[in-house]
Amino acid sequence: MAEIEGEIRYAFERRLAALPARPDLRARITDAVVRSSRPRAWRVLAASAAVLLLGAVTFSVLLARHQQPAPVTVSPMPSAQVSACPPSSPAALPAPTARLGGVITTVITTVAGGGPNPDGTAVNAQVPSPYAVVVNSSGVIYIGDGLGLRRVGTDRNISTNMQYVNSLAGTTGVSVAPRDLSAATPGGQPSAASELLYVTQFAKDLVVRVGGLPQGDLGKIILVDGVQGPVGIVAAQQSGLFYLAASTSNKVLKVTVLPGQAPDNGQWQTSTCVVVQGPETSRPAGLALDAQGNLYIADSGNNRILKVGVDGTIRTVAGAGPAGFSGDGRQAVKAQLSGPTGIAVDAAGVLFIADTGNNRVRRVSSKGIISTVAGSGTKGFSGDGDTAVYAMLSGPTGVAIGPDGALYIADSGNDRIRKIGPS
Amino acid sequence: MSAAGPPAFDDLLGPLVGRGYALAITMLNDRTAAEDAVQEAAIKAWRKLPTVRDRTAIEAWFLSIVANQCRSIRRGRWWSVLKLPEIRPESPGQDQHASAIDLDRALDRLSAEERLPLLLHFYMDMSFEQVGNVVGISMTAARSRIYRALDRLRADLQPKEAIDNG
Repeated sequence: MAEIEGEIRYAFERRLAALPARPDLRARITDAVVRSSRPRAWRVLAASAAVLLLGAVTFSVLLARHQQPAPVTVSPMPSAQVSACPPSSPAALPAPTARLGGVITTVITTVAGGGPNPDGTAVNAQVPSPYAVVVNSSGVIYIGDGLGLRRVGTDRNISTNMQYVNSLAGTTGVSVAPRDLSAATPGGQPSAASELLYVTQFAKDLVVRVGGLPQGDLGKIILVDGVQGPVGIVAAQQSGLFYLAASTSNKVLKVTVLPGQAPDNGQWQTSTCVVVQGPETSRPAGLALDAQGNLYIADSGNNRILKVGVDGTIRTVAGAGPAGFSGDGRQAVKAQLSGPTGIAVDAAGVLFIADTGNNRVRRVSSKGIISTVAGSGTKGFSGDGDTAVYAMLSGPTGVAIGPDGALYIADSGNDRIRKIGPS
Repeated sequence: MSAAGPPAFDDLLGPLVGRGYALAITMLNDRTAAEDAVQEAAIKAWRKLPTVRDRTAIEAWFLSIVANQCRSIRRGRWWSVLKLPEIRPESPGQDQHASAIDLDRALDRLSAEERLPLLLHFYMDMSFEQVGNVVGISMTAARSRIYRALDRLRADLQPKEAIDNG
C-alpha cells in the first residue's frame, strides 16, 4: 500500500459503481427545479435583465479597450521553448472519450496475440512484439508488430496477408489517415472502402503509405529526408499532413506529402519542417494530436511527455525527468515516468501513456493529475479478467482509444494486444 | 443552452448532478438522503445562479452548495440517532485484491469531512485550489487536509500490513 494515492481513485470507483443506476435522477431533479422556479418568474426576469445590463456594460468596456492600442508584451518563454513549426491541424481520427471507470470497465482482457496460430481469430494468433496499436472509428484494430502490419476486423478475425507482413516487418508506428489523398495513389487505385494508413519501420528508416488493407495494395514509400529510426506517426485531419517522430535523429517533423508531384517509382515526395529537435527532445517515440490540434510527444529519453501548442509553445505535461515511478494522485509534471513510448489523447483531453519501463499505463486527467490505469508494476503476464491495475504487463509500448471508449494496449513483451473496457 | 432564451437548468447544471450525487453519497452514506441533498442543492443553486460571476468555476460552486446541504442534513437531530447503512463496494470476488478491501474499510472509517477532499482530489481530479473552493477553505488548508487524511489511511492500514508480512 505504498502508493495509496493511486489506489484511492479505484476505491471510490468501486464504491460508486456498487450503487444502483439512477438514470432518472437528472430528469427528476430538473423537473423539481423547474417546478420550484415557476412562482418566482419575476426573479428570472430580473436576473435576465441584470445579466443583460452586465453584458452591455462589459461589452462597452471591452469595446473601449479594443479601440485602444494593444500594449506590447514580451513572452517570458525562452526561444528554445517555442517551436518554429507548430502543429496546425487536429487528428485525422476523431478521438472518442475513454470510458474507464467502475468495476466492470476496468477489467483487462486479451484481444489479440498469445496463441500459436498465424490465422484465424486474433486471440489465437501470433502477434510478436507488438509495438504500435491504433483503432479506427469502426473498431478495426491495426497492429504494428515484429512481423508486420496486421488488421483485426470487428469480427475479431486477424488478417495475415503474408506479402504485406513481410514487406512491413518491424512496424513501429501506425496512423489512420484521411482517405481523400487516395485519388492519386501511385501504382494503382485502392478500393474506395479501403483504409489509408501511414506506417513507420524503425530498422529500415522508412515511412510507408498503405492503402487497401486487407485488399492488398502494397505499401508505397514516402521519402522523408534525413529520417533515422522513425517510430511515432500521427496523421492530421488535413489531407497529406502527418507528424513523424524520428527517434534516432532526435527530431519530430511536420511532413506534408506533395500530391501534385508525380511519384518517383511509386515513392511519394514530401516537404518537412522541424517541430522540435534535440536537445529539447531525446529519442521521441509516440505522437498524438488532440481535438484542438495540439501535438503530444512521448519524449522517451527524457522520461516525459511534451505538448506543442498550435501557437508553438512547448511545455512538459507529464514527467519530472529522472526515470522512475512516482506521483500517482499528484500533478503529472512532478511524477516520474520510465521511458514512455506510446501515447493517446481522448476527446476530453485525457492523456494515456504507455509507461514502458514501469510496466504500466498511466492516465493524466484534463486537470493534470496522474494515475495508473493498468499494470501492477511487476513485469510479466497475468490478470486477464481481473481489475487492470492488478494485472501484469510487460513493457507496454502502444495505447489507443477505441470508438467504444475502451483503451487498447500493445503489451509488447507479452506478444499481446490487451483491452480495458467492455468485452 | 436551451433555445428558449434563458439558460435551461438541464443545460447548465444538469451535467453536474451525477458528480453532486457522488459527493453527497460520499458524505451521507445514504442514497435517499443523497438524492434529497442534491435536489435541494440544485434548487438553491438555480436561484443563486445569476449571482455567479465566474461561470468557469461553476462546478466547484455547485459542489460546494451540495456539500453544505449535506452538512445541514448531518446536523439534523434525526441523523445523530439514526443508524445508517453503509454504502460499501460490491462484495469482492475471489480475485479482488486484499489490499483493496482493506482500503475500502479504511475509507469507511474516515469521517465524511475527511473523505470529501479525497473524493474531490483523487476521484474528481480537482486541484487543491478547487478542493478548497468546494470545502470552503484555502488551497493550503485543502492540501493539508488531504495529506492528513492520507496519513490516517496509511496509519490505519499499517498494522494490517505488518500482520500480513508476518
